[in-house]
Amino acid sequence: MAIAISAHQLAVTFAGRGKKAAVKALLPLDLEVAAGAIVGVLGPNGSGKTTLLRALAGLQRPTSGTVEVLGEPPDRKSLVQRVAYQSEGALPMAVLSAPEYLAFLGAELGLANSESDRRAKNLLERLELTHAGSRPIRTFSTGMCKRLALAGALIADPEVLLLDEPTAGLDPFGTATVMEILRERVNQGGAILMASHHLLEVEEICSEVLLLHNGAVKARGTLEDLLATDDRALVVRGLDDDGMQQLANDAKTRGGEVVRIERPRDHLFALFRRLGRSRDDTKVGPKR
Amino acid sequence: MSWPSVWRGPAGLTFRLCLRTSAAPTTIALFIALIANVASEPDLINGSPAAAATPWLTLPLLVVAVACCLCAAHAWPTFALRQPGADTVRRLERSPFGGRGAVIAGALLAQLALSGPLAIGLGAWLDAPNHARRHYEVVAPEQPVLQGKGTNVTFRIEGKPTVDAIWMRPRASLPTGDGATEVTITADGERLASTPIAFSESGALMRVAIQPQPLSQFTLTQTAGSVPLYFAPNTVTAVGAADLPTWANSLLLALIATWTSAITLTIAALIGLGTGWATLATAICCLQFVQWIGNTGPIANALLAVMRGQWLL
Repeated sequence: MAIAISAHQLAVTFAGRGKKAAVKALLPLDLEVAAGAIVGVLGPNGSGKTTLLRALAGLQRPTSGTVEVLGEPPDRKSLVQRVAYQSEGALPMAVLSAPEYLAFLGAELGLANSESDRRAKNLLERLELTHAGSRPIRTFSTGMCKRLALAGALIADPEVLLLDEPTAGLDPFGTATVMEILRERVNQGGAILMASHHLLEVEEICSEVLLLHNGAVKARGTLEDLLATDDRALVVRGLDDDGMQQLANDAKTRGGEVVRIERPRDHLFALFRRLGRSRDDTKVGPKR
Repeated sequence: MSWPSVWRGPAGLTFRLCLRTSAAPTTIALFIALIANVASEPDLINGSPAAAATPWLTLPLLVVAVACCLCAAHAWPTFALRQPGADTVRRLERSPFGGRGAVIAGALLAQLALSGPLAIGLGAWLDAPNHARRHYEVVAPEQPVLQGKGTNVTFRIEGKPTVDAIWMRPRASLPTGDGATEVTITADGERLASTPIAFSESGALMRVAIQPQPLSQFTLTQTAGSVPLYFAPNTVTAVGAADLPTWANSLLLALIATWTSAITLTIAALIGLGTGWATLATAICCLQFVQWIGNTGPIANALLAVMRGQWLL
């Protein structure tokens, strides 16, 4: 796989001003993201996630180290169309409507008007924003703003997506739609680096994670490597309590240790996703 | 939702936003100006009622200027520090000015589009003279004083323009005897006005109509009276017909108003490099007020000139 993003000993320090000491936002780190991969950046607030994304987007000059995105320094004008960055904060020019905002981005990114309009229409439909019509963005809910921000990031059909909290404030349906879109991008060969606090989503979608703390990398690797344990789980269906007890005893005789016997349940996210798939259903029961 | 390309960029977008945002405050200011003009009864002594209405022309034009500047600076995130969405725009606009030049151009065009019709319409409604007239500067001698029968002062006019009136507002000293000072106007030995002009008080404006003719100089000669007259700089003006109609004069006024905003936004763009939105907005308002109300820019004089029917070029 071709390497879409590569950083070598990338470090960012914010200079101190007056009595304020300098802040080491990002300690030297190496990073490679292949085309077709989606990497999650995790970490508490202030751990350096946004600084890393801004450095990769060419918005933050590294104090040391080198960064290349699609083989070029990230602040190259030629990358603006090929690399999209969705920042965490509010959208610019909140007095515009969603179609106006996307038309502006399309024009700034050098798209032909007809192509820009076609893509904007598709994205607004896909992200369920067509109902907003000509309402100004400042009247949008947080979730609508997030969805529009993603539409803006996708308008030029970029090869690399740098996303800062793309699902923050989204309802489960919105989150599911965003996840679906991101999966499609990756399947088409795109590379995604995504900072998030939503561990469940990262676990579900990311092939690799990078765990930051105080600007330093604390853990990195594939989810299989990071989350694997020596435990094995056996999920059975159709046994009563006596049958389960016998199975547990059998496991003990074979040298195993039964950690717990429980009735597993689905998580709310999956329930909402099922709801999303069958919105006509009036009743949603347990998965059979 | 298909806008032409010109509407999609920073300039076109700012133009549309400024029109949209400024429309309501401008309409309110216009109504206030119209009501205030009807309600006010200025105390006029041989003066022009149109010039007295200058504040009511100022108000809507000032509101347009301030609204367009504030709208442009607020809409474009890189105009001030810590504005929402600045990163998105900064990535797209890698030019040294970060798109501010185009935004300023859009705001100025919007202001011109709004203030042009306003200046023309309000000028007419507030009784600005129908025909703008061109005022020519005259050059006075070192001692422009008439202080006795037979003394004279000769003024030169650059370029020998066609003149059809001479306006004078001399300062008068205490009289040395009885009677107002009478003055004749001559050029090349011929009298330009058939009757002498009498001055008895300081600062009185006299408009003397003459036969339209090209003039390179004219002479004021005291023929009678005992009031010494001093012609300070800019108190004597030669007036001629302008080649363009009054609406063109009003349009020039809108252009001058736009120029004040160009200065304001250029300074604001520099201030915004180191300040947040609140400080920037305050600075924009102050810059506009200083130029419009504080008389530091050309706009205050231009407004008065238009209402007096003086051609601005």
